Amino acid sequence: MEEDSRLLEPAPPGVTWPLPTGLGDLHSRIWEQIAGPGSWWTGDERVAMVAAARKAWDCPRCAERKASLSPAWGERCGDPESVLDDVVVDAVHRVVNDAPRLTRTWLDKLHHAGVTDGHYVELLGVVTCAINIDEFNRVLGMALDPLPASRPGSPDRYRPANAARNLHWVPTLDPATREESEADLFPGARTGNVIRSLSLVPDAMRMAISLTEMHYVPTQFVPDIEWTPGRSLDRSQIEFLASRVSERNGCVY
Amino acid sequence: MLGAFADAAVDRSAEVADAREQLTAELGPAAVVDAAGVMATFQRMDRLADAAGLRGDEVAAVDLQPVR
Repeated sequence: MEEDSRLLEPAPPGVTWPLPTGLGDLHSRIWEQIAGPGSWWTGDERVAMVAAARKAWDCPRCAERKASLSPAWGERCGDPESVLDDVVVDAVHRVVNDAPRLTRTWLDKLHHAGVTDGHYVELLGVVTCAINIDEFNRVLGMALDPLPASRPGSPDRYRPANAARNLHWVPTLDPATREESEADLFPGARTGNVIRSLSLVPDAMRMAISLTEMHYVPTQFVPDIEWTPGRSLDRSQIEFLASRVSERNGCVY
Repeated sequence: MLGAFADAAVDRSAEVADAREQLTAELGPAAVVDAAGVMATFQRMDRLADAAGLRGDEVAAVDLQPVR
């Protein structure tokens, strides 16, 4: 891995975190993308989702709900300071804190409340990409990046042709039937099912692809367990870590 | 060591600083950066998989068997 030598605190005394070349630029580009209008939400709303995700970690209602037998327990989370409706804030909090207990019934209710499948997929893209960057900073003891300043503009309401429900609760694109404009989402004509979850909102998927390539493995190489990114950790160590994190998160996929 | 780092990171425990320091001493700072990236990636991917409904029915059936 190529390195730059940005000194970041608080690394252990005498240690400089050797961040991969391009990492800072990538994270900046993603914040910039989040700050602008997407396909279904405005820049204000997208930045508010990041703020909601950050607040969710310390949300007492989420803590009580997570400890309860049923995820349907208690009142929904909300934030009077947010531009987002409480229904959306609550959805963000559940994705952050109780994702394994989300159900298709819950998602159907969210749709009935006006959050369409496009809105939901874009929310997932924004929130989970923000989590990725924030968690990287946090675990290295670095300050979180400031919330980006939102940019005005209207969502473009772009919905790719040929999206259909298959493995997921939400419609997705199939590499075999996608339009040419979405060819870049499937390098090598393949991708993993998790990242494909975002294909209804291609720009959200593009953010996820670039983060995956930077921090894990390029999407086309994920199924090839022999492929190693040539970093300090070998592929077996990377997969061990990935499995341990997923087990800890209660993710059964 | 990698496991302790992952556990502390996901649990958001104060022990993450110690785990990070141990990992730095054993594998070096570049490995800690790599580990942080993988951990952060799966904090994203796990939530995405669950929230998008990517759960094999067979897996769910096995998981719920003791409850049923």
